[in-house]
Amino acid sequence: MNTEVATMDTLVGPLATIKNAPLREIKAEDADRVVRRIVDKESLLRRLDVAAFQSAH
Amino acid sequence: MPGRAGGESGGPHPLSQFVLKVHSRCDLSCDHCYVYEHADQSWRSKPKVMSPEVAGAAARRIAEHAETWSLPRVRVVLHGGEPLLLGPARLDELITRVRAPIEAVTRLSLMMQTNGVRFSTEVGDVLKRHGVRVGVSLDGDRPANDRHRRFANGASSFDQVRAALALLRRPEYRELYAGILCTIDVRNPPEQVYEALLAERPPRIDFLLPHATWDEPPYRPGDRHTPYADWLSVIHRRWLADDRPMRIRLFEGLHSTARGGPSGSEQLGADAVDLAVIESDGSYEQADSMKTAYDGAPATGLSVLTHTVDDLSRLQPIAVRQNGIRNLCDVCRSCPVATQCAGGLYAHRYRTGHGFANPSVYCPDLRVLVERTNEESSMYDAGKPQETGTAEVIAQLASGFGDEATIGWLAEQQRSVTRALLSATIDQHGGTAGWEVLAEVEAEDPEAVSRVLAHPYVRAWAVGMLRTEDPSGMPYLGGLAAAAGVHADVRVETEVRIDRGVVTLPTIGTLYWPGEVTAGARITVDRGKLWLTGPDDRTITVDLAQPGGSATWQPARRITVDGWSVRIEDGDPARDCHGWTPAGRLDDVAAARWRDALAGAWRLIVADLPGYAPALRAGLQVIMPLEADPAGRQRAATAMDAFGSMAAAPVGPAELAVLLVHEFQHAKLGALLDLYDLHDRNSDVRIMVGWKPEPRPVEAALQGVYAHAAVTDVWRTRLGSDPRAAELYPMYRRWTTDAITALRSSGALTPLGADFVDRMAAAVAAWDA
Ligand code: SF4
Ligand code: SF4
Repeated sequence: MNTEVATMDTLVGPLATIKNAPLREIKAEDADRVVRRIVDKESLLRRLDVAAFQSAH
Repeated sequence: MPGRAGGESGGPHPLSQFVLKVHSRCDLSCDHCYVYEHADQSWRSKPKVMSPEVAGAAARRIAEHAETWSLPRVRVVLHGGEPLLLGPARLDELITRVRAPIEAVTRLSLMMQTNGVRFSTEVGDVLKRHGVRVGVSLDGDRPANDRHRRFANGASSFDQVRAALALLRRPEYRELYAGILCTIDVRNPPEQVYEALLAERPPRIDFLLPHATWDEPPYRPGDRHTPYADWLSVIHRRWLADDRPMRIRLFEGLHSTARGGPSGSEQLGADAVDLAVIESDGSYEQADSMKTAYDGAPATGLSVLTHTVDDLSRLQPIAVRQNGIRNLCDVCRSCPVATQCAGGLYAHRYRTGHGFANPSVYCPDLRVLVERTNEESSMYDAGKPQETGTAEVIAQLASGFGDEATIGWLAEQQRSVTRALLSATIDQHGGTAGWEVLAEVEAEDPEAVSRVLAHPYVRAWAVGMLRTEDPSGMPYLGGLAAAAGVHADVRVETEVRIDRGVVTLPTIGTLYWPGEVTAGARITVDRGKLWLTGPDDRTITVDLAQPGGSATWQPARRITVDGWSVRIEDGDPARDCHGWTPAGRLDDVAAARWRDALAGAWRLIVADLPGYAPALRAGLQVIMPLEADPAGRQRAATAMDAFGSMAAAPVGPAELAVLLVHEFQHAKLGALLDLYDLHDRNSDVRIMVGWKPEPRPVEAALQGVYAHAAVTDVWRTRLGSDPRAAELYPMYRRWTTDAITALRSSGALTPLGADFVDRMAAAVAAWDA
């Protein structure tokens, strides 16, 4: 697999959006990014591998 | 005919991705499907199901290949047709067969690509047990999906697929959710497709151009020249405007190739395609997309039963597809976007009589898409507000210390993490009265809510709720609302839960219900008074103006020494996240002992270790007493989900000073690691460290070295004043420097991590000067 690291994200951008949103207006997709990182321990390294994932259906 | 497999083309090369066609039929009959609907009709002659024997043989071939090439990892994709047609039991057996030989020699990542129709909790449990990540096909909203993705009788598959995605979002299966695969149809409005996919909250989306060749060009409405580029650009702009809420491989690939990186896609870019397909009868094939070219195009004539993967990799078309730009036709080679496009998907280049030596049939679209995406993403990068100086944060922390501004900033990030997680608990478990009240108090007095959400265990509670299906802990939010109401001095009435006799109002105090009951209750806060009404209509009343506690109320115990202030937390049930049993409610004697120890420890830190004081002042908020160790050993721990807290068993001031410094190093680095990757989380590297007998994973070594550097520093400052320092300083110093050397040569640090470790090494080296 060509799993070179292509980009690296940080959580700082999404958190800035969340900081400025009232609690009820935090967007689910912004919260999701934090959940994936903090609860699911997702990597922020954006590996791009030529994925078989794309190869059907 | 060019491109047909069979000709030898030199030496073998490594392949690391294998698509196993575990079932060759499908329960849908999508009219854009290239397995059944395109030129290649070989599925008709294949067995329906891959037998366990063939699966075992395939796995042994893959394992042998991985061993020969010392591959650090291989990926196996369970595929079809529709793999879930196997049913949970056969799937379980097949995956077990596949895993054993491969996992004996290398790391295996398992994936499945499915239409989702048959996804169920039984299937989810099997896949979870084997660690199989799942990609689901969905083409957008109902009309978009119904356009192609139907059952043979014409019925829609939309509801079943959405049910599958809802299951994958559940906490117990969320780790399996890899993403959505969406085949583009330019008749579907791109904004609507984007929104429908976003609503499914996929970690990643893959957009696929419909399969086409020069013989069968793609659908192009009217006279539009580049409909596919236009369609994708609408989504690209929206994705950027939304600040990239999920990963989209196609765009990430273009952003990457614009800077000379890999593309991560067969559709665009010159990345080597190191992929083989193994059919249900064991025959090796080329990538599936070749089915679109001509009947028999993917065939290789080889099989796992008779040939090695090396044999396969020698075949000419497979080798050709490894060679990126060099094998492109003349038109592509002279194209200004060739490095980013590289002729598009191999199969899309096919034309009868010319084989694959052509530009893609999507050439005009690809050219425009690449150029436009480059332009839009540079505008986006230029317009992005500069993130708070990452370099400065790294430099501050790597020095071992961190000033108040930096640690204050980290604490602020943690509050935002907590806000996000709280809102995710509502999303997962549904709204609660406490949440509504909390939001109302926030509208009146945001600072009051912010003070409460800074309580370290709010995050720990939220993480716990996000890992369970059981919503019974949700009324914890009522306690947060009541505490915020007290700070804001607004009347609050809401529901709470008495949790084993306790209701926590973080930063204000703890209510103790008589008896360790767990039950619903109502809380009211109004003008400095508090009422808790629980089982049997009994009410506890507290006058917050009265100092001191009672049997039913313990006001927050705050210790303030020379401008440093911490709370002792002995009530909140969510505090039980440090790996040791928390002490119960302290009596006044025990609380006084903690006050003395903390005051003494703080004075020692200020006098002897002043470099660590600003960070502790800005970041440490809570001390959580632990039960003492029966054998009298020290106990202290930092919980990564509770930044700003430290747990410890009772201990004297001198030891406590060291524990505070040591543990808060873990907390600082933990908070930094929430935001940035300093190391590759997928790395298997283990690192020998002096302080543990067994080799440690990279993150543990990094944490250990950071904390031990501080301990080294402590003993350095005690040289001459404490006789133990003569032995302990060199020992800790050696452990630290050895571990730094090992980390540096591990190959598992990111550039940011390497910078961090280099700076830490420089700080340690300066101690000798
Ligand atoms: S679900 Fe996939 S394999 Fe099945 S018919 Fe549709 S595209 Fe083909
Ligand atoms: S844009 Fe067209 S000519 Fe250029 S590399 Fe892509 S397919 Fe070839």
